Amino acid sequence: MFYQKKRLSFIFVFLVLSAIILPFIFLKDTYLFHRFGMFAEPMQHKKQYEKFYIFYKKNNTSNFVELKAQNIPINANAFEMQLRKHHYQKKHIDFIAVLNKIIFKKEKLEQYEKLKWKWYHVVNKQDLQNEPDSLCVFSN
Amino acid sequence: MNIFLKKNIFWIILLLIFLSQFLYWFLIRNYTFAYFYSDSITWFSQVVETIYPRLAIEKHRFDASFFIKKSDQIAIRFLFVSSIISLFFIPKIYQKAKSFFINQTVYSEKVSENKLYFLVIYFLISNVLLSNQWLEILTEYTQIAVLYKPISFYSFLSSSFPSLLFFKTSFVFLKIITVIGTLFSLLYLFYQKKYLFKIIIWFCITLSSILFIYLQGFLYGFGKIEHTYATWNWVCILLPFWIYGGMWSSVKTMTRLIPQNYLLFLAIGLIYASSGLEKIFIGGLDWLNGKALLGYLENSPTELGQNLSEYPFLVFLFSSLTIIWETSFLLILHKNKYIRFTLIFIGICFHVGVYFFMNVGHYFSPWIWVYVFLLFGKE
Repeated sequence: MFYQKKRLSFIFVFLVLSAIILPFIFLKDTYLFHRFGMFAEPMQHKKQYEKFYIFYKKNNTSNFVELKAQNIPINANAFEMQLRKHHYQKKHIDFIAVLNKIIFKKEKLEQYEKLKWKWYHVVNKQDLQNEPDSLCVFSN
Repeated sequence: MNIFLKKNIFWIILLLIFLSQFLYWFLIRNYTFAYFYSDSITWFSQVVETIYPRLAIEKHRFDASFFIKKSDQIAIRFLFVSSIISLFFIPKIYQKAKSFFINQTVYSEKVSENKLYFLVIYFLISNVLLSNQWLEILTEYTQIAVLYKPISFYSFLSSSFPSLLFFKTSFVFLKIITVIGTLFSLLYLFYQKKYLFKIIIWFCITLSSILFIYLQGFLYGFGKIEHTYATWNWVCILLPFWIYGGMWSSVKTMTRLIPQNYLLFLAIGLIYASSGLEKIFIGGLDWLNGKALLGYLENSPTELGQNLSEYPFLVFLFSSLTIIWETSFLLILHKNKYIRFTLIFIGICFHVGVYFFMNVGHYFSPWIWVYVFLLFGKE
């Protein structure tokens, strides 16, 4: 009985240590066992920020309006993260489809109406004389 | 045969480590290069695509050097960890380490039951407070529920994002558990011989831990896994076992002192140490000479952080201190309370500093909440 308990506690300690050490070795985050590589990677560009902006318009006569996180409504950081993720995965169409549904529901639009979208990626490298580079990464 | 193995186990392990490194650097690394530059199917490509099926798509998105760097890191880290572990197979080192661990660390400490039940109440209430904003976030996420992709074990539980009603009910349940657990913990402090109370408290802690971990996972199903609650999750994992062990050990000894939760100290210590090692392994010299931190401060969204970047010597000092403090956080296991308090004090300053200088986390970070569990100890 005593040895059985000792063996069980040894297995438990082994599992705990493995759960912390293995994500470190294999550079892999698996919830709830994490790898803590935040800030480990040195910055590639000096003084740089990037932002994403999304605009939509309901018809040809109206103007483009910016879609902000609070219009959905969703947390601003979560929205920014979704924009970044879908941009780098080149899945702009998928995310626009989701936003399309949300706006249709929110603005109570009719089925025949079609929204126009523009998605901008703005990068500001301050070592480039403060001139932001903006690029339209999606439009329909 | 057994005697031979016992006598030479260290050398056998060392040989295996050497062999694995030789295999990687002279064979597998070349196969990996070949895998990226050719589309032909080999036994190696079949093995890679079985273990990591996404690589077949991702090899067209990223440069080969990106993946080679990662696999080199894995080989180096394996060498580092396995070399340290192999040292414990030298009988003299093992005996010394064992005696140090038993006599000089929190392993030999005991905590009074009163303190334990104070920690239980603190834990239950904290779970509610820490998850307080989740319902709001999860409600927002229902708007983009179609983008939900279950992480790790969640894919076995449910492939779609749960309804708002499910979340609301779960959070109410979490609060009910907290009230019951807190009430019985307080009652237990007055009527200490009621073992039924202990069992109820244990059930409340276990349910609260499971709910905290389970509900949190839905926050990460939209593409980003955060480390905000990483150390608190370890409290959730280990506390039920500690209480379970404590319940029966105090029945036997009747001393009302239970062994310290040394595994929590070990887990938290290793987490900070691995965080420091990540910076050394990836950032290398850039982290030691402060360049990496300078880069982050120059890009900081706070004015305070950008102002600090104008003092390179201070940045270098903070950068080196961070590395030293993180890698030496394993000393939290030491039973000398001054060592522990110093590490905890620096820890509080560190997390508060990261918030004010880089706007990451919170000045009252859950990582600081965990420190309460590392404060108590008694011989």
